[in-house]
Amino acid sequence: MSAEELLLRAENAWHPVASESDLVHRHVFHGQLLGQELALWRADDEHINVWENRCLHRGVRLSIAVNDGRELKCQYHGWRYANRTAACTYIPAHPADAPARTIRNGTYPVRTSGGMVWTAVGQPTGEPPALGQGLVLRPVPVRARPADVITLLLEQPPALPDAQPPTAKRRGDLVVELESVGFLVVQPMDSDRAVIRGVLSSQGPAGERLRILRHFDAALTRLRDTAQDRAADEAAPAPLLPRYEPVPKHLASLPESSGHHDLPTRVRVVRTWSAGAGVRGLELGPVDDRPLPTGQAGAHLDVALPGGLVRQYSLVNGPGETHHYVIGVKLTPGSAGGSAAVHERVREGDVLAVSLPRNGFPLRRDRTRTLLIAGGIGITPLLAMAQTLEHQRLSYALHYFAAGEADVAFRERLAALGSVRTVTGLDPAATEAELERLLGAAGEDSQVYFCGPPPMLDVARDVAGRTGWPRDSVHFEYFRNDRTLDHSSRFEVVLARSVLNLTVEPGRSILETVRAAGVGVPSSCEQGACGTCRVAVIDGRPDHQDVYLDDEERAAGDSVMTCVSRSLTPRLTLDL
Amino acid sequence: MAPKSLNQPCEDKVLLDLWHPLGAVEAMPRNRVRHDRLLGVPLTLGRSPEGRPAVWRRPPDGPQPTVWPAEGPTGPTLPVIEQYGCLWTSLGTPRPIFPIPEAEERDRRLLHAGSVMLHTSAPRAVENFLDMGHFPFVHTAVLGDEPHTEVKDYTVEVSVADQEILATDCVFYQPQAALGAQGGADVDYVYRVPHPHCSVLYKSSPGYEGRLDAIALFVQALDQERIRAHMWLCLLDDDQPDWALRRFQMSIFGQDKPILENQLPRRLPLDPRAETPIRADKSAVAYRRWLGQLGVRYGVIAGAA
Amino acid sequence: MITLYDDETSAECHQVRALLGVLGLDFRSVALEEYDTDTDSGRPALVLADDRADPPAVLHDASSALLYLARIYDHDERLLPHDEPAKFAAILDWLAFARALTACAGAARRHESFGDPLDLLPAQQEAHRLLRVMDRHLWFQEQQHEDFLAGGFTLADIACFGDVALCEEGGVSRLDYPAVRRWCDRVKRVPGFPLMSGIFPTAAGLPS
Repeated sequence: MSAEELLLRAENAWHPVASESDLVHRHVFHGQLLGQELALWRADDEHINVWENRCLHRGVRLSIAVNDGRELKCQYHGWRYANRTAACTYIPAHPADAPARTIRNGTYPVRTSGGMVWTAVGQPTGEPPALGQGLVLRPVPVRARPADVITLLLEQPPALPDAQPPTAKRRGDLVVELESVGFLVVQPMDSDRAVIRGVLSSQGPAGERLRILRHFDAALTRLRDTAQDRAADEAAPAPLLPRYEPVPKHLASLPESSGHHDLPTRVRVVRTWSAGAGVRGLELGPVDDRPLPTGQAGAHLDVALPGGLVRQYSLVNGPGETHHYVIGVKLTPGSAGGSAAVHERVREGDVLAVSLPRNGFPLRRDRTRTLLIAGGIGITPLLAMAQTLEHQRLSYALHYFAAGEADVAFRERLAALGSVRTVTGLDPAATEAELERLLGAAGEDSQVYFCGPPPMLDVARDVAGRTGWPRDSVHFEYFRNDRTLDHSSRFEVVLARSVLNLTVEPGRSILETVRAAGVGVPSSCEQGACGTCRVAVIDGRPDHQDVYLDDEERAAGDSVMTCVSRSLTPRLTLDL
Repeated sequence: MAPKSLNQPCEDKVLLDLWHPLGAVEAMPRNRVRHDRLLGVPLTLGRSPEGRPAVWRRPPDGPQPTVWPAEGPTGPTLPVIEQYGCLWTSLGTPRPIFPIPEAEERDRRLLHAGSVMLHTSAPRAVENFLDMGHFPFVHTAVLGDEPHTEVKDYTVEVSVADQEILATDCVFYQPQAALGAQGGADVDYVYRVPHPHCSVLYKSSPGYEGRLDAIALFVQALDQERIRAHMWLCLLDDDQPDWALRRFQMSIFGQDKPILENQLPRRLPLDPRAETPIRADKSAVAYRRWLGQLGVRYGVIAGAA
Repeated sequence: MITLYDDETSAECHQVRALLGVLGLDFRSVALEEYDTDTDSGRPALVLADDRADPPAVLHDASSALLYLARIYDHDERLLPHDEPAKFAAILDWLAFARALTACAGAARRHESFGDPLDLLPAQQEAHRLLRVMDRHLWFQEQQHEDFLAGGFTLADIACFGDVALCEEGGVSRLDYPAVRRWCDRVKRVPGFPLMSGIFPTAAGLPS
């Protein structure tokens, strides 16, 4: 087999690219395989990531990025990429926007064997060879063709100290077994560069370890010199050209749209537990070895429940916690049955369909101080935010209003945070007084996030207005719309871009009417709480029935929640 | 190793017909010559004993003397001008150089702040110069600081008549708005790209309401992936000594340098799908599109078109 | 007052700034070009003047400045232990190594950034040789749970760091030296250790 053929076959094979011990915490290892640069890093949860060495945004190497234990932060613009999925979780230049879900860096598959980390740039078949767990040698880089390095290793196999050279057998294109000694593997970095890696089958006596390692290091260094001397006599082959895959087409221009209740992900219920009085915690894991799409702080999932209901639940996950989704569901007596379905019918081991994480409540991180104010089960998105702010060492305070001590949910997560205060047993008047105290004391350049039951949020909204908070510093997430909806009107909608005139009949929503005509609008909660189905109004006056828009936005009348709101004018022109 | 074609001389007429910077006028002593490159073309440049600057094409393997040859230029000479603190030349038929009207204002400090070579392409360097989003991360505590990271919306126009890009209404938080100032403030910026390899930024100058400091980046493309960046200042401030101003600019540029040298690929990709633009990158998007429209191929990776 | 006639782009000056930073000493920084010198002496890479000493000390070289500052201000002898002769000598060895790095990796960087004259290829090859030596040494140090060059953070690390951390500007990649790359991160985490233009910050270490 020629050196070129070997490289071609190597595309779709596993290769070691680092020793496991090379990947220390809070460090990014710079690797290369077949001309392709790699950034390798170990997260604090020990997951090993092998990524393309290039930030999607402006092509800066991620091997110079900051590994904060849960995410990589690019040095150029601070974009953050999550452990496991390499999904972008935050774009600091646009702190108010959740990054498009599809901004994901290139990742490569990861295996470990023989104390080494293996990956492949193409489509590998099978698994890397099992090399056991022995003494891992210091890797030795060589400027020579990988095929020539293998030939040399077979020709001059290194021996243990004071021993005869072992029999060397080729165990694959780039693997040599040294009989009863161990294995040597050649990592093809490029057409003319390689790394000799090795693992000995026995750790050897503790006192001898260093001596054996030094012995092999010296032996491999001599082999390197021989290989390089031989290579110097020949013309070096042209280096392999790295491939830069284009980003998905829709990322070249920004807006994203998603279908109605699109539930592409299957998750298994790994664990359920009582997370607080009347609150059931659900840990949802992947059903295969593909990682789950990553949600950002503030994001929620649509979950299809037994009985055909689809409900929205905020992710409780902290940054980098990408191996599962955690949600908390409060049993609401007299609800339409979503929470009852979770509490009574979902069992560990069940498989559920969920949407991609959506974020209508993104966490800005460009303020010097963040107040998080939760009421009841509204703690869930704010808990995700608090964990993020804590991890990034940004100043925050989480105030958690609960009915009683027993109602406080996710205690173990709260205990891990530095700045949490639970407030229990306040009546509405006392709650309002407490909100006034909290909001009145905030300094400049602060922001506040609220999530809780509608009556509390309505009060919070008033208080924030009274205490002079600027609108863009106050963020709400309603988890339901308690207002009484009036579907009785009939009116016309004009879809300006689609050039369609439609009539919205009593009992039907704008959203349903528009979709029936084949025009797609993303939606999520469909009760006027989440903001997903917001559409710009070009002409006419909306009849707002949602809880998402604030007073100023309602008065402006330039957008409408198409799931519940209607029209005060006979005709409403929409930017659709 | 760059493929061989990267070292070939530039064939883009649009670039050949422009003036290109070669370095500070004061760095060219009389009676000396220096060997240099521009757009892949080997050059010799220097100043005659009488003080007259000259630039000529040098055969790639020709001798490399360091003193002005007794017989004068040893190859065909190129046009030369001295402008904005730099010596400029052209490999084609140049129109007048782009104006920087502030250079004519009597009360300004004009200063060549330094020249640095980098392993990157000229368009990557210009694009970085137009970018505000990196201030908190690359110029931490100087031009920006976390958590003040937002790039607010700004306006970009491409003027076909003037052949330049203009970004206005740019605002960015600066932690120390002025020397000796306590606390940060929003600073206004205006960016001009009057030349594919040059950009001028204007920023508010404390104590000079309504007037702006001008800071220019003139990039000399040695070849497609190797540049020399020349920084030129046109300031209202006259308190600080030259060395302090130079030191400040060089330290800022020194922070950009490793970012630029760690960008892959080195040439600027013009295909919109090569990288991921966001709203903050409006001026970069306009710049890439403009280079494509001008037909620039040198130092870029052409779009899929 | 300690005055450093300083070139902010210079790795040699960074050695001195780093030691001043780690020792927590205040100093005045003046551009090196402002330092008066005659043509015979030429312009040194740096000048350290300490008028608190009697007589006032004036030093013109990074190694001597490091030794001087450590001798006077490193009161607990953490950075240069006097009563451990083997370690003391090993540190002096690394100071010599650092000068060798300046002569090749440092020179390559100045050539590639500022056009200082140099026969580039041999300088880059020599820099790679020194990095191979360092990488092997540091890998074996890691095997023995030692984070730094001479056992504990010392002048050795301060002297070698700058030219290593900036070598890629001279066209010398650190791709083949993973143990050196990890060491760079550990040095950056030393309290008080300053960065400079061209050297990126790293993450805080794992909380222990």
